[in-house]
Amino acid sequence: MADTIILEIARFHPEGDAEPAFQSYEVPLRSDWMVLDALTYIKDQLDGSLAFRWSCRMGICGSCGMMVNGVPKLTCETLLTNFAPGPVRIAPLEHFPVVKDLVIEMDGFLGKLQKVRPWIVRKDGRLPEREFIQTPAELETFKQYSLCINCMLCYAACPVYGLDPSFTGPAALALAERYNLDSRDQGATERTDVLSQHDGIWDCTVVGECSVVCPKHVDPSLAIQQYKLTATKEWFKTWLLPWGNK
Amino acid sequence: MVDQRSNRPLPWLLFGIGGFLTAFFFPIHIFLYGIALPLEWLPDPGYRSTLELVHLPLTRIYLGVLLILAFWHAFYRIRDTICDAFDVRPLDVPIAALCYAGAIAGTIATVVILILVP
Amino acid sequence: MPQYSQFQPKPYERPMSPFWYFDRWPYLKFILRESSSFFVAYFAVVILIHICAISSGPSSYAAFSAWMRTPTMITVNLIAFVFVVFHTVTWFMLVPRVMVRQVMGRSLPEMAAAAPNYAVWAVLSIAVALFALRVI
Repeated sequence: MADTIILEIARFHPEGDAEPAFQSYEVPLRSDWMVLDALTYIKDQLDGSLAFRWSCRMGICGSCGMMVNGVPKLTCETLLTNFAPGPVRIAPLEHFPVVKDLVIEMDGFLGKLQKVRPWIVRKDGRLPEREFIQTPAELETFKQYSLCINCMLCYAACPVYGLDPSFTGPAALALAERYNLDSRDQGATERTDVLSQHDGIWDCTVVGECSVVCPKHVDPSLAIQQYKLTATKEWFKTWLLPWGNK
Repeated sequence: MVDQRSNRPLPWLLFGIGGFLTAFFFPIHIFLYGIALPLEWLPDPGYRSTLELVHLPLTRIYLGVLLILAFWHAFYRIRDTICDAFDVRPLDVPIAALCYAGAIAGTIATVVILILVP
Repeated sequence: MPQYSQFQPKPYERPMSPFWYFDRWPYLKFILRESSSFFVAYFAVVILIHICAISSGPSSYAAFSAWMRTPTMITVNLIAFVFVVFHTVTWFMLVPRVMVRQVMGRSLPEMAAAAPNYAVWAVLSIAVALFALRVI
């Protein structure tokens, strides 16, 4: 195995460049390095102007999502030697506007996350007197969807989101379903209005790539299809029993 | 806010049921009538025998359900496929209208043919 | 992020290629799976034509059978068969899991939810074949 590997990294300087361009860097090819280690090596030793997000280095904060050879990955979890002999192409996460170099603007996603109300909603509005009791079986129904770290790799993988940025998107919908299924939550009706819109679950055409790229195996595609079943039931209830269900 | 909710659930349900029916029944239909019988891989039952089969009420009902749901399944998917594959999402409304027209035409043709044809 | 202003550079929006599905195999597989719908609609029409041809008498039935025997139709139907089988296989991989999870509240592995569907598919196909070949 060679000593070094070439990284082709997308550079974009917002105050000068018209569009992004790739710049090559040669970094040591160490067997225990992740792609993130190569990026921090570049920033330390080769080019301090390279901008990118990272934090925990262990695949739990969701900050370091980037396109590595066209596939969205957490760079802290992607082994550099997987791409030997290289070169490795690193670009900012797809379907998001580029602020600078590898940093993307995620306001669109954060807005959608807020829209689906990803928190326990209680109808009574008072603080509970004691903790909510939940059986392991009840936890099982939504636990998988609660593992989302908001890394947005699913949005980069979703072509529907790329074609139509108003689509609520995999992570937000999976988190909405996580709370809908949570036995402690009483906010399913509130979320229905958001989820049942055209750019809610119905934009999803089950490409399935979101579930493939998810580093936490959340399977947002399954959550969305599950909610389509629920939403259909709700729709029939609305039309067949218009007086009920307030 | 109920009016803002999409009305996709109904055609989606038809898409789902049609998807199961086409998944179970269409491969064998295409294999038999599109490939195996024309190429004489299997013995052709002949005109009289097939005519008897077509006359059975069971056949008419079976084909009616299968084909109507197949049309609704196909056109629901065709609408999304055209919008995604040709990047024409802004034209979603006319494309949807065409697809619904197609599904309705297919339904009417199926009902008319299966009821009226001797 | 502050609103765009005269002194704030604007983020760069990368355009999405209209041929995005040629970029990666999973996307192409998705488009192929969705394209099976064209062949489903096509063969539904063929079945209707078949019914009309049979009911119009032996000569129109013979003409229909001859048409189905032409190399063009055999090729088209072969392609349609491949696409529809692809629809079946991908359907079994995707849809039963959702229903299982909705009803049971937990996920089964992919094949566990798909396997009964394959069994049902085999049984129903044999049943249809027996009827079509007038064994029943």
